[in-house]
Amino acid sequence: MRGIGVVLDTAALLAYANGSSSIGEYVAVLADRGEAVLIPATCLASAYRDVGDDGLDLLDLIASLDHSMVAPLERDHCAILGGWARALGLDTAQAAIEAAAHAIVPLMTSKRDLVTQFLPKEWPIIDVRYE
Amino acid sequence: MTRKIAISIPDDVAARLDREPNISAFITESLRIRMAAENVRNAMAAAGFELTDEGRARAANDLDTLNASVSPELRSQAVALRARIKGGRP
Repeated sequence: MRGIGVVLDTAALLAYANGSSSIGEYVAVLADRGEAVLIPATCLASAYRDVGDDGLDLLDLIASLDHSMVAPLERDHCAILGGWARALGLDTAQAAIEAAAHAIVPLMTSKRDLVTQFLPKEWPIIDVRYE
Repeated sequence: MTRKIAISIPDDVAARLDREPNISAFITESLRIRMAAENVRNAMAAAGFELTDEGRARAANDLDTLNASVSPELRSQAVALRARIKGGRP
């Protein structure tokens, strides 16, 4: 694996699980490049909480791909995570921290305005439209 | 298990391989990436996604543009942020 190509937050996972081909295309491009897709565990759990029955298998699939990495919560991140989670929620806070903790990794999220209260404004973000 | 195989390759590819200390490992890694990418595309297709060349080109362009937009200032900010996260205090 040649590094992490993108971090997916809950909205990105839900968009994918509802059939968004564009998310699948990013995932495929990163596989072509040998780069990993990082899925924060709290985002995956939140997506399983919110997805309809039709999307369960798709979440199983994306989490099991060879180039997907499901990132657990880490003790060292908990203090910052708790602070950021007050505004972002635990899931998006973990996604933002994972993007920052692995050098400058693009983040796929629907919460650009909130996330850039914690990450620098110029952080590479791919906007997802999913409510 | 491994197999020894003889292949013919163009001169420019051979020149690239000449720079590798372990050609077998390099070729194996390159092919594994390609195999994994094929597996992803097949899995996505089996799940009902219709991925197109245009869509993948658009996604590739988006990612390249984003990564190219990272400024030295942002890199400095990211280093400081990473240290703050590792330090464990807001």
